[in-house]
Amino acid sequence: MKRAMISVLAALSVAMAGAQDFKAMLREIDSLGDFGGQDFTATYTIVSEKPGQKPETVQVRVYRRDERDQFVFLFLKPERQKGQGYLKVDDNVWFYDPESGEFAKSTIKESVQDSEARNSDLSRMSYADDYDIEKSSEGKLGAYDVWILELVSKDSEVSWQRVRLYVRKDKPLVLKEEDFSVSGRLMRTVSFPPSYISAGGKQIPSRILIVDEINTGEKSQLTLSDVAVGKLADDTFTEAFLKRAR
Amino acid sequence: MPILVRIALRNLLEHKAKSFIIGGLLALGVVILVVGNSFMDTAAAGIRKTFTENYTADVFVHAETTDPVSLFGVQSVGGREETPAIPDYDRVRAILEEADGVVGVASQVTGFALASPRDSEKTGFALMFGVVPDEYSRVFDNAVVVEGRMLEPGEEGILLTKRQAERMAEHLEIDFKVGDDVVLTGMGNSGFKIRAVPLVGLIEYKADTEATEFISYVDADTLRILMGLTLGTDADVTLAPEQTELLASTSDDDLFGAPETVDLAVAAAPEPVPEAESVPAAAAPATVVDSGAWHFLLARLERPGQAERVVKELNQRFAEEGLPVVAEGWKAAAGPFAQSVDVVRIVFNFAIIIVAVVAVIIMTNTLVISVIERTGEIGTMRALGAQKGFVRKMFLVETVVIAAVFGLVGTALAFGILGLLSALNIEAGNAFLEILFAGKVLRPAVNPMSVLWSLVMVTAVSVVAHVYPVQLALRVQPVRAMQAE
Repeated sequence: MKRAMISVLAALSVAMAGAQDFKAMLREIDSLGDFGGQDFTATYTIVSEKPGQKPETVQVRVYRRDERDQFVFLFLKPERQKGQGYLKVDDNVWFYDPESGEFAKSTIKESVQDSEARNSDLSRMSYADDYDIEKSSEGKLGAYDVWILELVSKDSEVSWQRVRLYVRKDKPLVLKEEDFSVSGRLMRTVSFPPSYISAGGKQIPSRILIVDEINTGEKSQLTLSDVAVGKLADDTFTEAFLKRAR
Repeated sequence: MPILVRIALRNLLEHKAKSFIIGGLLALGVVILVVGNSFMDTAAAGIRKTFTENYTADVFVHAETTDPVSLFGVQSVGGREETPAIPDYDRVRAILEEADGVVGVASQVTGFALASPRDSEKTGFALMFGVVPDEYSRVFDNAVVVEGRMLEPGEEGILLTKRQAERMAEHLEIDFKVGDDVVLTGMGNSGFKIRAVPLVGLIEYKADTEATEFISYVDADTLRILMGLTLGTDADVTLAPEQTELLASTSDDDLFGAPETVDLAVAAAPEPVPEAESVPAAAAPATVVDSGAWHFLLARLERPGQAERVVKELNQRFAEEGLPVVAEGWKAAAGPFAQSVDVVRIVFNFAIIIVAVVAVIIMTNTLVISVIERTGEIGTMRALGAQKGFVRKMFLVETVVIAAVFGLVGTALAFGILGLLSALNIEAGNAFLEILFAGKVLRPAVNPMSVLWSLVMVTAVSVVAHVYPVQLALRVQPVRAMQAE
């Protein structure tokens, strides 16, 4: 009898999980980070800790036009990097150094200076477009009931080949993301604690913690401030903007 | 002539066939050892010459680090440790220049960067040595310019190897020539930096190694900027507690235990973008290069053989003066590249050792058989009153005489073989064999000490090999021994 009960409960749980449209959930998650026809700006303060070293702080002003998948990152601090920036035009990411006035080819996978954050963490991304759902389950994370989704990348352009997402059951908000290498090794853990900023009718996490799982003790906190959603000048997403923005 | 020697010589002549067989094997052993040692010595000298003449020099000085250092930087796990600049550079350099046997000193900065022609969407990889051109060329006469020219003192620019430039042009699918700008993106202490420098010339190394193909030369200041060897420190950024709070969290409960909070975005619209004329590009302050910052000092010695002594004396001097720097030999400077050549050399040595061991075993067996065959003779001598000690000494003298005579014959044969190999002008054919041959043609070197060592070893093996059978033969009763005869 007990065994039968367990079987029924298990079947029920599978059925309930099956009833969830996880692909739609991914699309909802994506839509929360996609400002569509509006432009998005925010300042990210990234504090990085490494064992035996003084914490490093980098401040980046992010300008995004998600409609065209464009972005400009402008470094505000530290002083020695002030005015440097990244520009995404079409599928190319360029790094700009104001001291030499030169641009060099970069990638979305590149780290933001020496922090644990990558360019892709500051730009719009799409779980639904870039990943397939391999597995789903339920769990608890702190005080929150969550769906746990195992994702596998569709191509090699993304930073991580395998991703495990912990998504709140009450709202389609990601609380934690675990990023894995192709071989399945956990590379880093990204936590999005439930403190949000409401902008353009969407809730975006105001603080992010990224922990390097390979180099013990290395981690970065990203804090968002000066968040705004509206219309930016068209020449924001040009080389000329970076050249004069310092 | 002592009676023992006379008896021994008479016995050797009496047993001519046996003497020649044993002697022949001894001579063969000496030939293998002398020729083998010669090849090993030639290869060792060749490897050393190639590396020290190309880019390591004889003595290598760097700042103290926890992980091993080579001219290519600190070899830390994950390759994330920065190579520190030499502290109190002027003092360290003065000590090095004053050291007995040092005839030239060059300073160097090493760095890696992504390199691409201007406006190229593809990038290549460059390993760069930042040097002072005239000072460096006084210590290293390692490369020739095949197109363009050398860097002038104080000039900004880069020299690539011809092969590297060709590969880059092929990979990037562009026409890439001397005079074009190369855009270098480096990651150092100050984050990413980009510098564009002209391709001044293309070089070819006089002797190739695995590493030389990748090494480019750039002016030291450009590389210092790319590697973050700059002056001044940034003021600390003032942070609010909530901007670092998450770094102290240790569990999921710390991060996800609290109910959600939602703040409204602070601004309703983005701030205006600066106008083109409002902030001129020239406003960007230039990074101040630390012109005294060097990663390494390389010293050329009058005689390379002095290196061990000079390194020891330098390290003593650095310790006495409390300077946190270390002097090492060329192998440390060559780092992973010398190690890979070492592996091949170890395999080569191992093969020679196996051949030598086989020769020694055959020699020992032949000696054992030859002594046992003379059991009857030993019995007869014993019956006539010869003491055991006398018989032992007689065999010892016989063995030493045969080893000495045929050892010399073997040495002469080995010299003949090596002379013949030298006369044949065998060409290396490829860069790796060039290193092992110590040049384009095989000229085996002979070290007198290794010849002496081969003779001593063959004699010692013969002496050891004859002890056991003689002991066995002496145990047999003289009557029985005579009956066996």
